[in-house]
Amino acid sequence: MLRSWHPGTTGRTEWTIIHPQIEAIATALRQEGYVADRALATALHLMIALDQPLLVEGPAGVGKTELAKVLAQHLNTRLIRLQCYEGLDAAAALYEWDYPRQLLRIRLAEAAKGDLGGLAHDLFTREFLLERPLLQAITAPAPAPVLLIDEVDRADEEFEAFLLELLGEFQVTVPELGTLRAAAKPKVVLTSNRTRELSDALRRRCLYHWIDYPDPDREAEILRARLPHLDGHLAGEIARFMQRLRQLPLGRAPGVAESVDWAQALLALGHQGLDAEACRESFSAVLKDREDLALAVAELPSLLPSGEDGHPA
Amino acid sequence: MTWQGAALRRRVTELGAVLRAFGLPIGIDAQALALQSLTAVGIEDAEDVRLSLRAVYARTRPAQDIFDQVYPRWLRGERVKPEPESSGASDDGVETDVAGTSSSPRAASPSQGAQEGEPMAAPSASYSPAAAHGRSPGEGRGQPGMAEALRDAAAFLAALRAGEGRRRRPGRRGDIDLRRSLRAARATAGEIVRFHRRRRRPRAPRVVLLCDFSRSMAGEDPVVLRLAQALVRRSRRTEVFAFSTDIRRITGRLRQRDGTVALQDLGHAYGGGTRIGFSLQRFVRRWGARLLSGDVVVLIVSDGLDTGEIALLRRAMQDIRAAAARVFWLSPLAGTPGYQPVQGGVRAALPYCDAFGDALDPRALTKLVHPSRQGRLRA
Repeated sequence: MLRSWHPGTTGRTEWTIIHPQIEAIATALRQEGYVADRALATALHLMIALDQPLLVEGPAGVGKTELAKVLAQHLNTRLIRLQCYEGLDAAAALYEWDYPRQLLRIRLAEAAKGDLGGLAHDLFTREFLLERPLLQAITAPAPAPVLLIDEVDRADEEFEAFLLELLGEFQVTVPELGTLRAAAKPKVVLTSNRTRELSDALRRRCLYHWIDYPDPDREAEILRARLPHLDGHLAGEIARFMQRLRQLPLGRAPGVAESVDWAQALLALGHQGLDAEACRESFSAVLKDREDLALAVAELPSLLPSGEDGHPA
Repeated sequence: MTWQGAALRRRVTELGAVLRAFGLPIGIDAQALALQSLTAVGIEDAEDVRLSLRAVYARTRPAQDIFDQVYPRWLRGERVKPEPESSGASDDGVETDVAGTSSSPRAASPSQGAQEGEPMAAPSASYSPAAAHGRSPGEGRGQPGMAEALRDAAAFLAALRAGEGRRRRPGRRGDIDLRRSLRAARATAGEIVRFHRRRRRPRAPRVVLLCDFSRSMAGEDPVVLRLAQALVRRSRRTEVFAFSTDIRRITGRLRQRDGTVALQDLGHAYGGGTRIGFSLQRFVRRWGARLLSGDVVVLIVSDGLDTGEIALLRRAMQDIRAAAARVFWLSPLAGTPGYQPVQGGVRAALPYCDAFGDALDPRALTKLVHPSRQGRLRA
C-alpha cells in the first residue's frame, strides 16, 4: 500500500481503512481547521500513546506552531508556550522568586512590628514563586497540558541540555520548596526552523516529523477548512499558484499562512478568480520582500493559470 | 504480513541496526521505543507500521530519506548494507545514496573505480587528510598542520567579539544582582553592605564559511578543508558551505569524527567552474535570512576567478555586507609574490570586505582580525 489516502472528487482527503485512533486524531484536527496528513496523524497518535515529545521541523509558515494549538484544543486542555530565543535561561523558562514582593513583605512586616520569625517561611512559598512556562507545565493540574517549545533551535546549547533533563524527568527541584513533580506528564511539542542543528541527544528523546509545504490538493483543503466562505475553485487556483510561486528563487518562500492571508485578502477585495490585476493588488499579503515582489510580478504570466504548461522550474 | 512475537521483535530491532549502519544515531532506547510504537499502532496496516517506525527511527530530514530507501528493501527481506565509502547522512539529504540503489552516476563512478583498484583518471574527489599521507583514516586527529590550524581558529574566534547577549554574569559594573547581594548579606546579619552587580556577557560570534571548491581551487582542497574543520571543531556555531557552480551546506559532513570528508557527491557544488556571484546570491536567498545577522562573520575562501556575472557577485556581496558584521576574503593566490587583486571576482568583491588575506598562510585567520581587534562587531 503506497498511499492510503487520495484526493477525492470533492477535493477533500478521503481515508481508507486505517487505525481508528489515528483517524480520530486526523478527523478531530480537521474539525479544528487543521488538515493533517497521515504521517502527521500517526506521529501525533504515537506521541500521545507513548508519552514521547514530538519534534516538528519544516519551513516557516507550514503550521508547526498551529499544530500545538490545535492539539491542545483537541485534547481539551491548556496550551503552555515557551518561545525560545538566544540567551533564554532557566530563570525565564522555569521559575524565579518574586524579589520585589518579597522585599515589600519584609518591609510591611517590619512596619507592623509583626512576627519576623515566621516570615522567613512565608517568603519562600508558592505565593512568591513566579512560575515560568516550564514550571507551569509541571504544576498544571490534569488533564495534562500541551507544552509547546517553539523554535528550540534559537536557544543556546546549554539550554538544550537543561531541557533534556527536564523532558526526561518532568520534575524540578526548587531548593527552598522541594521537588515538584508533574501530576500529569505534559504533551510536549518542539518546533525547529533548523537555524542550527539540534543535538543528537535531544533528537533521541523525541519522535520526529517533518512538515513540508502541502501539495496543491491539500493546500486547497486547508484553505477551505480555514475559510469556509472561500469558493472551491478559487481555493484550487490559489493552491496551484502558490505551488508555482514557491519554485521561484525567492528570498522568503511564502508558507501556508501566507496562502490563507492571501485568500482572505482576495475575498476582502471581492475577487472571484485569479488574474494579473487581482495578484498585483493583493500580492502584499503573500510576499514580504521587495526583491521577491519584483521577481514575482515579472514572472506573473507564467504563474497564472493560463501559463500553466510552460513554466520552468 | 504475518509477524509474531519474537520474530517481529527481531525484525524491528534488526531494522534499527541496519539504519545504524547507515549512520543514523539509533540506540537501544530507540529500538525499544519502536517496538512500543507498534503496540500502540498495531500491525494490521502496513502504512501505519511504516509511518510509526519512521517517526521513531528517522529523526532528521536526511535520516528520513535514508529510511525511505532502506525500508522497502528491509521489508522484502533483503540484506541491506551501506557501501563502505558511504558517508552517512548528507546535509541536504537530496543526494544520499543507499548501497546498490545509486541513482546518481556522478557519485557512483569515482568510488567504484577506486574500489576495483584502477588508477583514477579524474582527480580524487574525496579528501582524507590522513590517507593523503598513507595512513588509515582513523588517525585523523594527528593530521599535518591541524594543530596549528586549530590554534589559529581558536585565536580567531577569541578575537571576534559580538554584541551583548541576554545572559548576565557577575561583573564590576552593570545592574544590581539582587540574589547575590542578598546571599552575601547573610554574612552581615541580613544587612546589605555591598551590592553585587552583574552584566550582560558578550554573545559568541557565529562564523559562516563559504568555500570555493571549483576546479581552479582543486590544489588547495586540503588547506581549505583543514581551515573549515578547524573552525567547526573550535566553534559549534560555524556553518560551512561549498560552492562551485552551485552552493551546498556541508557543515554536517565536516563534523564526522574520523576527520574524513567526502565531497564527491556534492554535484554542482564541487569541482566545476566558478560562479561565485550566482552561488553567493543563492546563499543569500536561501540561507541569508536565517544565518546572517549582526553577530555573524562571513569568511569567503576563493581565488576570485569567476566565470559568472560580476554584477551578480557585486549585488550578493552588498547583501552580505549589509547583513553580516564582518566580511573577510581569503585567497590562495594572495601569498604569491607580486600578486595584485585584479581578478574580476576579487576586484568586484573587495570594496565590501573588511580584510583580505592569504588562504595558504597557517595563521591566515588570526591575521585577518588583528587590525580590527579593538571594538566590537556591529550589533
